[in-house]
Amino acid sequence: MRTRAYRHSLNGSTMPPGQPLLQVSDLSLRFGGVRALSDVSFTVTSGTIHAVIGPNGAGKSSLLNCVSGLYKPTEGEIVLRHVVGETGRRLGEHSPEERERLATDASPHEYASRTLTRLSPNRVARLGVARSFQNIELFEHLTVLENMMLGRHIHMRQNVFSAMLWLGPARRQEIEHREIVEEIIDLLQLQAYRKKPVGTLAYGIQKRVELGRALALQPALLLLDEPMAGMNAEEKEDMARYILDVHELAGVSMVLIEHDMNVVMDISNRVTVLDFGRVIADGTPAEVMADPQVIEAYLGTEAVR
Amino acid sequence: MSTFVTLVIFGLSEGAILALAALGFVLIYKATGVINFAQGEFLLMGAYTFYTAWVIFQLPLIVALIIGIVIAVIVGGIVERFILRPMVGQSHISVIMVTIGLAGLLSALVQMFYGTQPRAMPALFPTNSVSVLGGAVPANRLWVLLIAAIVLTLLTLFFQKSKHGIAMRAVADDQQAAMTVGISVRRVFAMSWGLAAISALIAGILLADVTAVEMNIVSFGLLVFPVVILGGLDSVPGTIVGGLTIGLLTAFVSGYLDPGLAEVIPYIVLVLILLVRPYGVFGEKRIERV
Repeated sequence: MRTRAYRHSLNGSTMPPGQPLLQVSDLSLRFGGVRALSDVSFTVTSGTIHAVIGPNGAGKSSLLNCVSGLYKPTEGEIVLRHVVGETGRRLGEHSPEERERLATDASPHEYASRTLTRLSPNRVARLGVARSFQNIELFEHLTVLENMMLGRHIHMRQNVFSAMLWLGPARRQEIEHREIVEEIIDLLQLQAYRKKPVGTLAYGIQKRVELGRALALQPALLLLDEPMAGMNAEEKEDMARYILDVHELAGVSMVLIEHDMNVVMDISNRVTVLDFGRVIADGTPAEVMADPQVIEAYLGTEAVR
Repeated sequence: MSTFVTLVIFGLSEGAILALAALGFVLIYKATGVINFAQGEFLLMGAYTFYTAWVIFQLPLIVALIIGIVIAVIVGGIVERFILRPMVGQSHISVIMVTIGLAGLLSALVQMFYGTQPRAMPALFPTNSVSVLGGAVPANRLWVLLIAAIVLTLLTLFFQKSKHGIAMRAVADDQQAAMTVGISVRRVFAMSWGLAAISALIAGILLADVTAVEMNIVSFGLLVFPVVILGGLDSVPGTIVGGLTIGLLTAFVSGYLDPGLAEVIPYIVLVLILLVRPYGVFGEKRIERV
């Protein structure tokens, strides 16, 4: 799915576009007596931008935290699907070339799936689910470049001693990872900030760095928690552009949480609407917009009459 | 002049050992946020395990060293897994009390098995006197300085350049973010304790070589606090500068003024630093807003 002359594919998924990639079934999450999520089910299709919207407190962030392993759901299951290659390797173990071949190969595949529900966040990340946070979680004391190189962590194979002495293999590997990171810096136009400590950068730039770090994992699925929160119209437009670039140029499938309805309608292929922890609508942006329940949740019953 | 050179070498060698001990302390504090009051006991334990393997069991030097490292890593791992991990989320004071308890436990264990009599260890390095710039210096001091410098450099490089070192810095910075890029926070915690135990082992062996295998190693270990307060609790270069400064200061005070005062001077520095620059010379300035 590479449309620009990038050397590396940033899409870590083996699922051909159109296939179900992430399946959430009957997910419930309770904190004591509070039901944050009740029987939430939906499917993210490979190659799409899937938006999750809903009023404040609808459970959107909780849902994302369940997928990325930070919360353990009380009931239900989350499954990430992948193609079983001839080599029999498991999810997350394919080389980039192999991944791309699998994803573009039209012949019927054997599919397998991995349950994410009981894995720790670092294991989920290793399986190719990357994310950003609503309230930016970056390594503030490290530079933009170091933050992004940390996104490469799961792909680094390193011997402690060669690393310590900065020997050949460690150095060669570093250069390879650096190339991928540079492509991301190029894609997100962060060239000017490479060596700046992230803590000193403007909010909008930090949001972009976080997107870049997630992308550096070469994710099978990218989870974005309100990437445009707290931005003005112009910044939002920029961010939407970058997200679309990541989707179109890098071919990464995404789950996107967003408040701004206009943005959601513009960039997403499919929308799931949550209200009070339940799914009240699921469909294309147009379908969802026309749904009386959605209008009620957003504007109140008065508006419907 | 000759006294000066001798004092400088004595100060630097002891300062380098201190820096090694303090580096372990800083690694743990940086990655896990735990203030480890048992660092001196880690030195003690390192010295005694090496002594046991090398002198009592008569094993070759390299084998004894490897056994020392393995045991240090195992003990570090056990402490992390069974003593500190259950304390995650508890208040700082509770965690500090636990490490103080651990300190008591470790030194009591050593006393139980080896008694309180100092043990003489055969010299690791030649002890003949060498003339450096007109000053007479025992050769083993120079060796200690060299070995400590090599180990400090390797550990600093590891921390700054390797994948695992960078993962440790990432965990120190933001645990949640570290998890979401696939870093296992638990493994990083275990690794910091293991590395801290190894640096304490090497510091313990070097110290035992220039002094003796005895309980006093613990009180030397206590000097870690002036060092890290001076250098900054979270700064790796700071521990090296802090260690050397405290080492030199003690040597000069002991040589020119009074050996008794030399015992106290590091703690006078500690109090002064806390009054003037509580985050240390190289430490990160943190402002806590309540």
